[in-house]
Amino acid sequence: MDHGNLDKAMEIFTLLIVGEEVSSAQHVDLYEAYQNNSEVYDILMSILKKSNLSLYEFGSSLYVTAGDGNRVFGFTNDELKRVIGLRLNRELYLAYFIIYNIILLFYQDSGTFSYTDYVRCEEVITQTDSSMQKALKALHGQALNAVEENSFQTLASLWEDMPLVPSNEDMASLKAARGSKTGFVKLVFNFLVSQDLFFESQGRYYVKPRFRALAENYYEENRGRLYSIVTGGDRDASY
Amino acid sequence: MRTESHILIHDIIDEHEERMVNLKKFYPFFRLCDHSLNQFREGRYERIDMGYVTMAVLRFFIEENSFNDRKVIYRDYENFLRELLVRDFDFEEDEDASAALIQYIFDKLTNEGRPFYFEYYDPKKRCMKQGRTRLLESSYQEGEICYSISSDGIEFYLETKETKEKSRISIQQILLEKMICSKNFRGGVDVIRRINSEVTRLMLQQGEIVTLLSHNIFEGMEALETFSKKGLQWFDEEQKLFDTNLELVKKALLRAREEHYQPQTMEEIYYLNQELKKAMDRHEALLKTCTNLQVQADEMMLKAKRSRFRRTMDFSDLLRKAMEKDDIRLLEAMTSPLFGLKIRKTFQFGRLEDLMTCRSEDEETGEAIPAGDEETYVFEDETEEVRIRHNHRLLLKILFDLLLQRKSLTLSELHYFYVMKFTDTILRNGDYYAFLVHLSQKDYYDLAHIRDDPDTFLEEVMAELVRGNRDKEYEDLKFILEFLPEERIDLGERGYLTNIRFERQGM
Repeated sequence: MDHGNLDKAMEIFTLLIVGEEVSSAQHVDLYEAYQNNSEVYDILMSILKKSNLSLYEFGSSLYVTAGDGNRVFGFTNDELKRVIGLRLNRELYLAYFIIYNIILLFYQDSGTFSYTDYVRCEEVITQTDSSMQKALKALHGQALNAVEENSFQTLASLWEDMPLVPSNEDMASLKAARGSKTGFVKLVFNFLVSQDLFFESQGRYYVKPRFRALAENYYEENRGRLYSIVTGGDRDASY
Repeated sequence: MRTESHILIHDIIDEHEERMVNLKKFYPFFRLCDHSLNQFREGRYERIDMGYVTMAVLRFFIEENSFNDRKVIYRDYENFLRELLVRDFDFEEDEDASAALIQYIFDKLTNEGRPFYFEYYDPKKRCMKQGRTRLLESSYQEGEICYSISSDGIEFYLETKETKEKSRISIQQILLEKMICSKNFRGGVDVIRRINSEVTRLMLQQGEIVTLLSHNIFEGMEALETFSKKGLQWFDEEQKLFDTNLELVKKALLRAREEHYQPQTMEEIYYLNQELKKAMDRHEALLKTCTNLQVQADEMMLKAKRSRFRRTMDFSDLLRKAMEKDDIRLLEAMTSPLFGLKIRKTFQFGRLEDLMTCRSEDEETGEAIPAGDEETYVFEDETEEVRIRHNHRLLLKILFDLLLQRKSLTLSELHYFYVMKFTDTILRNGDYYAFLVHLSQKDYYDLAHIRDDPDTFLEEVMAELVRGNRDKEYEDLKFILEFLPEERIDLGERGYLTNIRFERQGM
């Protein structure tokens, strides 16, 4: 093995895990080494595999993800609650639900991007409302104490109890907070912006290439595994 | 059918799609004019003409993107439009009201971040088709969102005044030639600017094709073909005209020096010369990019062919399934891959107590290990092996006993005995067939020799059997196997066995 190639692969790895861009615009020499030098590519892929990370290329740029269940590079639920600014587990799951609904605003399936440049909080609320409909209907037919802790009805009840905006604030000056639907969605977006998935400008959330790289590649590659998780074949959900 | 009628139908059907694609770029303008400001704040700003505003904003973007070669940020647009509203519509409302209106207009121009969808019927394929177009595009650059005019936007703007010809660059070049000849050098610079904006449009168009290729390879390849046909075939002609014009400018410069033109005219010619050279460089760059585009498209096509059979993931379906399972914890696996890596490691407070009460090494006591029985694990394959050995031993015992009684024996007879002893279930027992396969590996068995030196797995079983036989009846048993492939032993649906004759040797 050529030591120069090992150095290059390690350099790419280090840059990627600290969130720096390796692309045809930034760190061009390293990106070219990844593209054209098979040894650099092999070493990098091997290090990433051993670290349980997946690499995706999108628009001449490289992105990594820890996937789910990565104990070293992934967030635990408690850490996520702290980063997003939430207190309760059900709030965290509501945040996950909203994030998934944001994906739905851009993609029907991983192969067709909707060509939408940006979304606003209001659209996310409408989308979440519509996805929540089924759980809401089930919730209305039940006594409150009969709702199971991990049921989607818990999220529906939490979501339904929130006002659109707090009574003392108007929409434009509204801050990200847990007390209202708009505030909650803003809280989620703040987190997504910090994860390099979106960019905010005048209340519009523009999708960044990292989001597209993962939405179009990760989900496609892990399709079978995700389906077996949600249909209960692969493992129990209580990881 | 008469020829005229045939031509008529051909024109209607075959050319319809092309016409619709051409019309596409006009669609956003009329939609914007139709119903834009009458719905905002109870129609308070209805008097502001959206058509005029649209054209003005497009011109502003062409100026910034094509002539000044820079992207526009929202603030630039805001300043431009505020000035326009005050100047042309006597807009006198406060800052907040104008900011809201300007933002509303922007959202309309960008169609809330989505393309304008234009639906039309394709008579050839007998289906509705959807065309997409945008006037303005956004991109993320160095920490901010930048906006630029799209190629459709430029084309729309230019076509509102100029007629469409085969190559706009060539038309402009001829115009430039006329201007130079008539010594209208300032007008020549304007023409060059228009050439530049056409080059920029083609440049943008090729960028859009790259994006389209990554979204939908087939649509992208189609767009590339049209682009190559319409945009690139004029390159040679354009380049020749550029050379002619450069020559003309040089001549003009020479004549100006000889005939002692006014200093201002001299300056204009110098400026024209400079701008023409710049335009030629840009034209050259366009050619280079377009050549790369073809290579890029080929690579993308290859990649698309490779991944053609990969199935995409249906996001709505996955959510529906998760909701059917009714377990919100599933959401974690569905969304967490999007998050970045957690590289900042934190120290848990719980560990602090361990540190505070940390004892020095000599005080440490080792972990007490209680005495217990060592467990022996039995692995699955070991259990299987025990079963196989047992079954083979039973089968061998019958074979050996029969061989001790008879000099010769066939497999069909042996099989009959096995069925009698173990009933029909033996036919469903894999170990039986495995036994026969093992047995057929050799055509001679000497049990005395096998007892001391077993060679195969089956011989090991034979050796065990011989050693375990108290009467030592099997020790001297030797037998040969004669294979009779023509004779079949029918096993019904399970197939057949070919016969073997076992013959005892000696004794």
